[in-house]
Amino acid sequence: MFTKAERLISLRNLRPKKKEGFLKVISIFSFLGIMLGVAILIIVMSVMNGFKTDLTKKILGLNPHIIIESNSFKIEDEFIKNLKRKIKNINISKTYSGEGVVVSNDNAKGIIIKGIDRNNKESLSFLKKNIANGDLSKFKKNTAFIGGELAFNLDLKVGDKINLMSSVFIATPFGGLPKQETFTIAGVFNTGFYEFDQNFVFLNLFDALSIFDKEEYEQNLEIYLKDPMKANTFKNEIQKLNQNYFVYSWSDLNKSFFSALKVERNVMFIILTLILIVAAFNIVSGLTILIKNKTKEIAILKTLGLSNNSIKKSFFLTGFTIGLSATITGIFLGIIFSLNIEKIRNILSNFFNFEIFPSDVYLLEQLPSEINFYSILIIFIFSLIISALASYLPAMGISKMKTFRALKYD
Amino acid sequence: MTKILLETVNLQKTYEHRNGIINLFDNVNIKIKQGDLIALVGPSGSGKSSFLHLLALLDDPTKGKILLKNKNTKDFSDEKKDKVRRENISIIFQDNNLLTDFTALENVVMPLIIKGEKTSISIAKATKFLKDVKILNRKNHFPNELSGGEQQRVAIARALISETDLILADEPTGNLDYKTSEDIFSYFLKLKKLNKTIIFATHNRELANKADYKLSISKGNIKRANAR
Repeated sequence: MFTKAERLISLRNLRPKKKEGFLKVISIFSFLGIMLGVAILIIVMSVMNGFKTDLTKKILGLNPHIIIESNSFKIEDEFIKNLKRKIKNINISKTYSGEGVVVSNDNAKGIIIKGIDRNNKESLSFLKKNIANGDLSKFKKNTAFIGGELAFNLDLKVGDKINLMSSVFIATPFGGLPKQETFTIAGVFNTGFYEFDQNFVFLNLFDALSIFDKEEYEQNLEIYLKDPMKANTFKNEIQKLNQNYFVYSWSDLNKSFFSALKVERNVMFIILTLILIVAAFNIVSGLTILIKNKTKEIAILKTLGLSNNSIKKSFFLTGFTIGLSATITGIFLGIIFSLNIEKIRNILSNFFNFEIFPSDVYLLEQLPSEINFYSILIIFIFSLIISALASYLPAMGISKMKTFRALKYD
Repeated sequence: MTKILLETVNLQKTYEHRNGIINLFDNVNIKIKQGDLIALVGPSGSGKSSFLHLLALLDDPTKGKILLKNKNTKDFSDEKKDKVRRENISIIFQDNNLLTDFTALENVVMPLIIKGEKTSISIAKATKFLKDVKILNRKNHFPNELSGGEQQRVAIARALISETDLILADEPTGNLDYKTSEDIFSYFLKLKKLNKTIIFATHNRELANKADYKLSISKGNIKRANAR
């Protein structure tokens, strides 16, 4: 690809003489610019990947991976058996949820009422994992588990009574009234997800069916998979089993959230690549000055029979070597920074006495970071393309130079 | 009969200038044989360097043609010209003609590296040529660490290493003292014995008179004059 002469000339260009100190400074700034650009891109992408992964985990911990809504058709036991046969290692629980209002202490708030099957371990393990107050063994008929934020807003504690109203109307001598029932708070859960802790109330499945005036056959199915990332594949298989039901995966239910994350990630990538482009201009200017300074050397090399193409390639190699070495160093720096980002956050927080990435705002206890090989590969290729272009443009100018005049007049 | 190495046919070179067209030389017809030692003489600005650049295929004539080994160089592409230079032509300049980022040894090795020859063989060959021009002890010195005479000897070693048939020298002794000039000229005589063709531009009448003949440039004309 590059001849020995081209490599040798390129290597010498990278070691400017003392009187060409200005070129050395430009080379160092070109190197630092690209290195920092690559490192920042990797750090930001890692944090955004980590943020997405952590939020996904939270969402998967709070929500079923697939929901099958009966759509007024009974979900037959045969269908459930088929499901278990077709998809290995899954946990299926019956559930019902709907919108309602909680009334207590002269306050009212719209909530989502969710009935869970006490006999299902997966459903109970969620409450067990996130319980803040109360006792899971007391979660029986006519009791409820409410979110920590809701308890705080309505000033409720374990043992208090609440009235729940559903959207179902019942006929009374005074006309249609929303159906309401009284429940005792058996416990309070805290997931760390503000929206979840504020809006969810868990009831026993039969209490939920009752308050919504539903029959047993109208309950929905929640499916928990061993690998939630395959939810969409299984969703399609489930849909083929019975076209009457509505089947949703966890990504369907959070589509707008993940789309927003993706858009944000892409926009950040585009903005941060501008740093690389700006840094690459240092290579362009440095190489242009170098070529100008080396006009006489270029002329001498031409008299020795070195082709224009080889001269161009050697100067291209000079710029590209700076870009390549800066990119590789930037990748290492970015990876080291990403792996230790929490420690660095703590040091900076302590040093500036200011909390960076407060957990109550960002829903996560620590600054997340996930190094993604694919992201690094994209950044690596992108940085090399920019470095190659930045090196190619000044090198192309060599062919237009009347270098032999430098032999006499330079 | 001695072979013709280089021939110019109706060679013309003009330059455009804001004050008009400058006619450097016109209708030059010369034939240079293999093994000739030729002095190119003429006043400053007469076009000696430009003529050498044309012969070295570094510049294109306005009209006419240059035949090298009976091949019309006008039809050559830039790549072909580079190849021809690499294999047939060596050039020596008056001063500062070395690659400043490279040591004396690397400067001498460079033509062979450009040709793609093996490094170990190239270094051995370069060492021999540096020894021949009595500068081996300074092989690891950069040009700015060498005197004018030493630099010129390195340049001569670099020109010799390619073992080309045509050596073009543009005032090779211009900045040198009498003794060093004599030494350098003695190298040219050695090269002549090896049947190499040497064309050297010079203002030194004594050296010019030692050549086989002189080519005198004056008022756009190049005339042959006997030297010895």
